[in-house]
Amino acid sequence: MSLMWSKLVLRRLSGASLVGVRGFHQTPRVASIFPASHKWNLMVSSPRPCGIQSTCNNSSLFKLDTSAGKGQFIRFYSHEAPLTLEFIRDRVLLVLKLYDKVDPEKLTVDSHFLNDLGLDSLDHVEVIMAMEDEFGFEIPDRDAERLMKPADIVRYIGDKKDVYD
Amino acid sequence: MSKLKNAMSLKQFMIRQEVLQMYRSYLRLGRLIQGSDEESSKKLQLEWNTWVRSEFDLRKNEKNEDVIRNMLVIGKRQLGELNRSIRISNG
Repeated sequence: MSLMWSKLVLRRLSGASLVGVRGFHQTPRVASIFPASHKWNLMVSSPRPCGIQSTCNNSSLFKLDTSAGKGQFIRFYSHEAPLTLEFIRDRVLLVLKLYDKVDPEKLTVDSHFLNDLGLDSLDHVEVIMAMEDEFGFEIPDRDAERLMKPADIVRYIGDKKDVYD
Repeated sequence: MSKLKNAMSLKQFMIRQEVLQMYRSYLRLGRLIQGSDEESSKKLQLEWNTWVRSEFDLRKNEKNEDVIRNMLVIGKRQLGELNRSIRISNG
């Protein structure tokens, strides 16, 4: 899983001229890789997180029904990759590492934004906005002001996305 | 005496929260900005974010409560106007 993820990040980092410029560099949305086949349902119900692997054995995009003399395109509707707490934690830390005001040396899961990392409250707002961009849902103000460490953010997103680990 | 002190810091806390909410509204507004393609959209949004940040940084050391309230009112009005102009420019 991490190989695919790191490939995405590397491609993004090498292509962009915005890294290092003040502000957030948008991390790529995780590419949807899973086809909506019955194998996907099996993966979701398995107890162990499977990571990003290709499970598509049936790779034909076009299904030919010779008896009826017609063909039809098979469309693979996309799902997002399955969320685990570890995956969420990695993404949260990655977003923070890409933020130029954060010193990656001091960054841990439990480092407090204001006290340990030396950010101010405006930076904190920017961090939460970046998390909204990364995970694709809005975080209301009253929740955002409580999230003071990466660990809080990971737990919050896990709660909102119903991730049990 | 300590009760009076707490009352002051509560007001300050409320004002601070309003300022942070306004900052967040400005940043959310920046997300609506579109350029001709993805590259220019990102540049415009980055420019917007830097501008908003510098505006807030310029005024953040103000201690006088009335001045801060005044700035909040002006900021909210400006937010509405910018909201309208951005929606118009997006078509």
